[in-house]
Amino acid sequence: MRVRGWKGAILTAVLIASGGAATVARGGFGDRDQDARYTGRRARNVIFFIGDGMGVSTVTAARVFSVGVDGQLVMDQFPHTALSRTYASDSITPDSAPTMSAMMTGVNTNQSVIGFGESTEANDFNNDGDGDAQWTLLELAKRRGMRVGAVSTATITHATPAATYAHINQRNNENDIALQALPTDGTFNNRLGRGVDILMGGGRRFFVPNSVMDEEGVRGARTDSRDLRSEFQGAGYRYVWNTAGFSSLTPASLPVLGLFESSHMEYEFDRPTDLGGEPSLKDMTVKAIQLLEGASRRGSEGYFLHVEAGRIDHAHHAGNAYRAMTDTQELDEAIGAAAQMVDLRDTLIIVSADHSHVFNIAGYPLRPLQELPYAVRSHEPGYENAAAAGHGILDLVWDIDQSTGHVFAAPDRNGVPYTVLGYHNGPGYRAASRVDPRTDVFRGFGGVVPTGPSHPAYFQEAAVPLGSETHAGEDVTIYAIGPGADLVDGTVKNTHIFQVMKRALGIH
Amino acid sequence: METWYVRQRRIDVAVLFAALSLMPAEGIASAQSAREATNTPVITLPTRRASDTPPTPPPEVPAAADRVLAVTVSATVRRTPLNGPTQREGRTITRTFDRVHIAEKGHEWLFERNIRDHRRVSGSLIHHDARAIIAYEESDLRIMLGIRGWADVVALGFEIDTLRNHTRAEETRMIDGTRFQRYSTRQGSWMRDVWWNDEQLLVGEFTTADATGTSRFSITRIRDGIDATVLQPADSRFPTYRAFTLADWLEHR
Repeated sequence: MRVRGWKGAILTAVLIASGGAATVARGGFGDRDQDARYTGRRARNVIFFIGDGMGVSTVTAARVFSVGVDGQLVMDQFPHTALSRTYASDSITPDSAPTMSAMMTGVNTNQSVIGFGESTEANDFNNDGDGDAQWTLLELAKRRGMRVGAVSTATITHATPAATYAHINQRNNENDIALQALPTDGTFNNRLGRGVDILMGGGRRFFVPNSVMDEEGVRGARTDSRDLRSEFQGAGYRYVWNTAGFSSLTPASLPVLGLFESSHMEYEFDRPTDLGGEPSLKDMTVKAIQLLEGASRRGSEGYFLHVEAGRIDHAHHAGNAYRAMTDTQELDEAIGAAAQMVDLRDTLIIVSADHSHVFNIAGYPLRPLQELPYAVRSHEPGYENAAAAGHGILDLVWDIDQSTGHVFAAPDRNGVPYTVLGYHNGPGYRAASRVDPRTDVFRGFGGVVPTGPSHPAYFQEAAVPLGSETHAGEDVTIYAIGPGADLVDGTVKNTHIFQVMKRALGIH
Repeated sequence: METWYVRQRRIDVAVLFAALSLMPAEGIASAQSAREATNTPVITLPTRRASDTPPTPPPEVPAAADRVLAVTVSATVRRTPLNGPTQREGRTITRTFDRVHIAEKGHEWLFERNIRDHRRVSGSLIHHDARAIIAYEESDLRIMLGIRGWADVVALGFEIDTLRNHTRAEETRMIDGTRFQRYSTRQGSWMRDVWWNDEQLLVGEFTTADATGTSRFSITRIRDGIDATVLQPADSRFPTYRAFTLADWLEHR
């Protein structure tokens, strides 16, 4: 340990003396990954949070929703930030597979590919093989003797958590991804040593045969008749599926497999309705830290934990801003809990997103009545309730006539009001049938249900008719605190996050 | 020619290297640590807006749901927008006490009652054009389709509890031997006339109206007996189709 520290110090000094020569990487920007400026304290632990699809507009809207336009989320309080370029090797706007791969391996790759470099294409459609699997930070941490965990509200075999421990050329093959985490399987990823210490999330269907109903009465999805729940237990894992089992976990329970839902876990808003009972993202984060800290005290070399709020993305795809807001808020709760639990002198916390969404905060919405620095002379009915609509973010665009002091619902060119939040594309397209959002309805299987822009069932309007709202290609934010956080600045490729975590941990 | 300045810089760098090589990394770290300790920001947990009331649990299922006959139903859905022509879709529905299958143009739905909690339901959409099977969990059904539970499915999309707001009329109607009672409500309600059979939990017809137009569901034929193959798990009927969760289907390109 001491020898490694000395070598690191010498190397750092040499690089400083040589001017920290930055190189120009493919893509035409100064590659911060070659800029070995880091001389700060090493991190013992790293916690890496991802808000799936949490672009800048999502964070802004969630801030207004949760704490008001002038409030501060926990992530807002992190002292170091940067912009992260998210493009995939073959796409301007990426999906979650290449982006999380880039963040976990430091190597960019192609759409749908997990854990391989850019010579690997989805499904190996050129039939030229996958090339070498890249080392992920979780694998490097495991090799170093650290405890490791992955937690997600999506399926634990979903692209983002899978990119911490698996290598595959098609993210949708979740039955196969599950096997790569199973220490007794022939396709097990041997870089994981005895396995990932904590795997918690949804996705039980990929561990249960399709002939079997699971603990919550839902059919499995495995076509090979294997029940991985029992196979993981046979490999030494403690398996839990509900809040009762979750609550009983202690550091002695490691390794742990928690599968709390057949598919993705519930959105935070819907979680109370779950049959078996599900922990929240904050609950899972706190538990994972407790288990890893407890195990680390017993002699291991710190830990690496990945936590994903996977369903922000899903709510956006559905065109439902409400659940995107509530799941982002829950992610911020989890970040706050983590920041309060750990020693920020030895734990690096990074928060970022894999990509953005075509999600807009539109118009010139007036702040709610109670937040204005002046009195208005009059207002249309309904404006007085804007504060209850997520501090106005889930409401109509209210505007003020600066001559009369009258507040009114800002109209489109046909005289119809519109909402603050909307999407560029997606299922919320109304076309000629658009109506006042206050009288809008949700058209379901059982008929129509009146909603309104602040209703959880409201689907925000979209400009382009698509069955699903899409990702967006703009940069996302990186927030960092703790040892190594100062390496987070400027505008960087998302691969830089891997370098930051690696250097903070002193992994070479 | 080497100047005094350059020579002095070389000596400085050499001294720096020597000093660094003699200094344990932990020593450097500890000095930094003291500095960082005072700079570590204090994280304040914000006061957040109050939580909204969560969704209500699935509605209770009438006892008659366990006794419904296995039937095959032909139905029509007519959608009439305020501006535009009426659109008409036919459906063939297969219903038993624990499964409902709906065949529509280009796709099929299979709903399964939850075996642990009979109020709950999950579903699969079989998308023939895309050769895909999309799994809908309970909350997917609620969020995307407004299906609150098995009660809504077994009643073929009619929300039984809305009958509380209707008045039972004397008028009845027979469809293939099944008698339907008329229930009506005041003008202005979004759910208008309903023709309902309470023993079989079948809705013969109902109409909904909103600001954009009206929708009418009506049964045209009821046959005893079913084709049991359509009630088999979707992946066993179409093993070559790709399987998706709804969220992944929405992201699929």
